[in-house]
Amino acid sequence: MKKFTNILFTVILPLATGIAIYIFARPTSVAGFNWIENTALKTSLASFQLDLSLKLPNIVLYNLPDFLWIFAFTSLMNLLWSEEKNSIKNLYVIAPLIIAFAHETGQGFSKINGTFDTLDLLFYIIGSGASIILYGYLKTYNEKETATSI
Amino acid sequence: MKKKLRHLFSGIGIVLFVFFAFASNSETSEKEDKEELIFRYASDYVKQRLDSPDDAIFPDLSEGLNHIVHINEEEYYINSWVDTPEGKRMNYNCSVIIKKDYIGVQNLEIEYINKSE
Repeated sequence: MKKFTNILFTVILPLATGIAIYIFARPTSVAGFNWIENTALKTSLASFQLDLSLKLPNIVLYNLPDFLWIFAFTSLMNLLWSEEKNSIKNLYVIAPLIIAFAHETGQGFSKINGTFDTLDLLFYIIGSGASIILYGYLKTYNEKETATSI
Repeated sequence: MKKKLRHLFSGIGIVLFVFFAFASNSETSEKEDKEELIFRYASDYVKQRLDSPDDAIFPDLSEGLNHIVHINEEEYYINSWVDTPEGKRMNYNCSVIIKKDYIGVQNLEIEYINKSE
């Protein structure tokens, strides 16, 4: 049950929120949801999207999804490797951050299409860090709880 | 969970992360995003006023964005077209007004023309 709650709140919910920002407040669809472009839904959403995109600050529209993606996937790694205490676990947990860092740096050196944005990088670091701190705290909390119950 | 399965799920997770985080990154600017939404909004407004809205054909986005003129912070002028399934083309022009508490289309004019002319 605990594991399911963790998956729901730290993986599924952040992912769903990120997808929702793309669908409801940005003209570009999130990868995997491009089929919406070809449906009447996208046009009928236009009024709602325009309204929402004007109300929400840019940081929510353009940077929050980055935070949510990396938070969700770092949490997934933390969940998968929660019982391990080795360098493989650490590697998997920081893998999303390494990939994001490489991607942004590649953009900075014009090796990858796109524009380098320090704010994106900052949100990736915060997202990854938040998940690592959260799961570190949950682990300590669970260990304490187990110790007191014995 | 077996270690092999964990590696497998981790690999899938990483692939999904790359897919979501980087494949979704649009290289459009904030201004382009706004103009795209404005064009979609105006198209939707015009569509609702057509006899056969479901069959209407609007220009694709790359062309449509050239039909927008930024008048000022609160007003965008759109001069575009829509084709009907009967082969008729309608030119339309309107202003999209964007204020803090109001978003709307004003001064819509639709002109029917024959495509073959």
